[in-house]
Amino acid sequence: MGWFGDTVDSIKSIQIRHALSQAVSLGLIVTSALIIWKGLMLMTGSESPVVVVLSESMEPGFARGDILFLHMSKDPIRAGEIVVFNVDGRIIPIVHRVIKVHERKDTGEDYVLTKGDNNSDDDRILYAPGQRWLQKHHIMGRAAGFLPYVGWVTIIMTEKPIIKYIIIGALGLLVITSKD
Amino acid sequence: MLCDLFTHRLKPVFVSSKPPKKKTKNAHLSLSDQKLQKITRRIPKERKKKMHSFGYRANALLTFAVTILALMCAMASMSDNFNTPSPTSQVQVLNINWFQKQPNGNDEVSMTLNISADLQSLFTWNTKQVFVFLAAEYETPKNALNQISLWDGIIPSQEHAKFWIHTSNKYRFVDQGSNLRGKEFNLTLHWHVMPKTGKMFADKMVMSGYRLPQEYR
Repeated sequence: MGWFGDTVDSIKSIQIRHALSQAVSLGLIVTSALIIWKGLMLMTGSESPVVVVLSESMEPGFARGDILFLHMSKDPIRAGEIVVFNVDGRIIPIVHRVIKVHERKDTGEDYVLTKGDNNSDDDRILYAPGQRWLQKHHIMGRAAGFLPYVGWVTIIMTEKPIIKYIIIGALGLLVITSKD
Repeated sequence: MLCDLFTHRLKPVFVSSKPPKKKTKNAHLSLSDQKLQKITRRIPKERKKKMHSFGYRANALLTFAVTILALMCAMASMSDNFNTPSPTSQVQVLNINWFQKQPNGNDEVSMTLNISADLQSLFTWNTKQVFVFLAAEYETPKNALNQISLWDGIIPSQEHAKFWIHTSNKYRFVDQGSNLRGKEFNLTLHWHVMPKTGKMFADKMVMSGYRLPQEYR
């Protein structure tokens, strides 16, 4: 009763000025997160600079729950690089390694074939029906660095949404009731 | 010695004959002070509690732990820069198993390779694995660059980094078109070092070239 009563009391005793300053600091947190994300997008040139590995197809290099930092530059794609690509008709992007490259002389376009390190076959079965090569517009970025385990947070949150709501609720309550 | 210890211990107890009277709560305050305290008690008490609450301490501990962990990861990744690897490798094409034109017009060749390499110097304490592959690289009238991976492997530890392998090409060597007869290509050994944490890096070594036969077989 004590903690609950205190909380109710403190919610009741919010003054207008206090509420304003809290709103401002909350806004500051949200906008700075947005600034960091957009800044990363500018720095890396990739539309999603950080991705989480969801499958085991790149084991033992990348495990489920690892975080990859992507990088997208004008440089042409070369064999051996690990790229993140979108296939038409699939929502979730795939992280695999390039095993074959054909670069056109006239247009400079790359035709790329990928394969997961842990898969026995190349990715033609994963591509859209009839598609034999990946091209520039399919590729979102190439992996430049990685951090293990951190991605588990997002995996747990997307697979068990109730945990997400509990965390958001708790944080919200903390922001409302905090005095400083 | 023992006696000394005894006296020492007993001394403070008998300093005064009467034990000090327990102070009644807030006895030193005057009535007006008491009143004042009653009024203002609510705010300072709450403040004090917040400063040393469980949540406050857990937050401080978590922030500190995450900062240290991030710093350690960054330092581990940076330490890789001090390593200057000097890998060696040798590749030989032993035999062209067959060489033909597919029904769709693309040339395909199958060959037997002998690969030996010493990649031990690539490993540091922050290395999870080294991905190594052998690629055939050549130019055709239509394409400025063709890279075809012929063989690849994952080296999990330094003990396995000195190897020798006799193999036919793992992936199909198919050209985009029919340009492989009499074509000379470079064999290049590439390696990608995957760290336990941090930045990945890659390098390559251009090896001997090889000229494919003039006729299908």
